Formats: sequence, C-alpha cells, structure tokens
Amino acid sequence: MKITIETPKEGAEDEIIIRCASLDENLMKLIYTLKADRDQLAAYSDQGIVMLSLKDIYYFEAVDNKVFAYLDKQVYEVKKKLYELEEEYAFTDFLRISKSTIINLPKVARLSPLYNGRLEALLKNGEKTIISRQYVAALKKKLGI
Amino acid sequence: MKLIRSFLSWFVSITTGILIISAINCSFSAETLSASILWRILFCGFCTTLVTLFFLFLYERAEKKGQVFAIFFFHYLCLCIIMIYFGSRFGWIPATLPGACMMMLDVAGVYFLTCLFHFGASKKEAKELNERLWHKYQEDSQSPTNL
Repeated sequence: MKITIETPKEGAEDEIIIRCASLDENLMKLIYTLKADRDQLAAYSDQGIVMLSLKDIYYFEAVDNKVFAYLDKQVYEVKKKLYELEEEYAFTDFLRISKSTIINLPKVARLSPLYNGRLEALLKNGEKTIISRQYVAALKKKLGI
Repeated sequence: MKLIRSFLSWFVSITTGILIISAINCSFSAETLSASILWRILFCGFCTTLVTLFFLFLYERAEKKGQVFAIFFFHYLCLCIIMIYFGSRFGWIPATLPGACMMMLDVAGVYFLTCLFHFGASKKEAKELNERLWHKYQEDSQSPTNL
C-alpha cells in the first residue's frame, strides 16, 4: 500500500482520501479508527454520563436486559443493545463470543481450552470469560486463521 | 458440512474408545470372538455419536455451570442406558446388576478417552489462537506506527 502525504492549500480543511479497488477488512478497520467519534462511547454511572474510550473497555455483557461495559476495575451501563454494539463495532477488535458477551480482543491475555470445544479467555485484568463453541469460528476468522 | 465433520470426528474418537475398552475386556475373556463384534462396535459407536451430538448442541447453549453439569450427567446416563441395552442384547454383559455396573464403568472409560482426545485437539487449537493473538495485538502494540 502506498501512502502519500500532501500539504493542502492554505485555508483548506485536512482531508483523508482512500483510493482502493475494494474495501477489505483492514481498510474498514482503518476507516473506523480514523473516525474520532467511534473511539468513544457514552456510558452511565451513579455520577452521571461518562465518555468511555473504546480501547479501555475489556468486554460488554448483557445482564437482565441491560448492557454493561467492563473496564479494568470499573463497570458502566451502556444504553445500547448488544446486537447494536456488535453491528457498530463489527470492523474493530470487538468480537461477540457468546449470547451475552462481546469481548475486546487486545485485552485478552490468553486462551485456554475447556470441555466441549469451548475456550476460556483470561483477560489482562485477571477476569475470565467463556467463548462459546459456536463463536470460535468467528474468532478464528477475526484472527485471520 | 460442518455437522458431518463434527459427526465424523466424534464417531471416530468414540468408536476408537469403544474398541480400546473392548480390547481390554476381551483380553480377560476366554471366549473366541466373531467378526460380527466389529460391526456391533461400529453400530454402538454410531448410536452413541448421535446421542453425543444432541447433548453437544445442549452444551453449547448452556450458560451456567449447573446446567453444564446437569447436561453432562444426563449425557452419561443416556450412554449407559444405550450401551447396557445393546451390551446385553449382543451378549457382552449379563443382564444383571453387576453386568450393568461393568458396562457403566466401560462407558466411563470410553467417555474419558474421548474427552482426552478432544481436549488435546482443543489445546492445539488454543495454542494456535494464542500465537495469532500475540502476533496481531502484542506486535501491533509495539509498533511505533500503530494507529
């Protein structure tokens, strides 16, 4: 991929133009990363509304019809459905791993096998979560296997 | 296609397990064996694989540990019922309580061997995933040009 950086004319707005034959997953990921508003998510705590940085979120979990974002030590409620988060962050490092959980892959320290083709993901904050067998194929695809 | 592959994988491992346990049992038996025992082993392998695939479907949907243990228990129970029935029909065990207990031990042995095989395969899969995870995220995070 060739990268060209040009200085725009005076007064002109900074612009990023992507020329490609087709939009593949890497390009989609790049576009999502460049869009600043995608890097943050509004969440709710007892103190009010908080803007969370996506890279700080370890995983989302749906419990009792509510969705929570789990950070290193804090938990916040998110006013979106799990499937909405799954669609919105489809081209990022977030991956659905079970009916109720979406995980941030860079936050995974290690994967361990469990009975019946399931995997256990040990997160970098010490928490563990289960990857259901039916989502292992999606995980492999995300990792390019 | 995925279902066929899953079926074949479990069929091979379960049937191999039955073969191993049968070989151990036959080593202590003075009886001569006929060729029909091989077809009967294949038949039992086929039946128990079908039951196993059904319970695997339930395992996948189980979220709580209690559910997993309950499914495991009923899976083992179903396998025992099937093998005790066919075992007594084929003359492998007497239709008595000690015979049934012997078969339950044999089923536990096959269960253990099959789980061991599939766990080994999962371990290999997990290792590959961990390597890929490291290359994709740990290497990327060390790159100075990472976005």
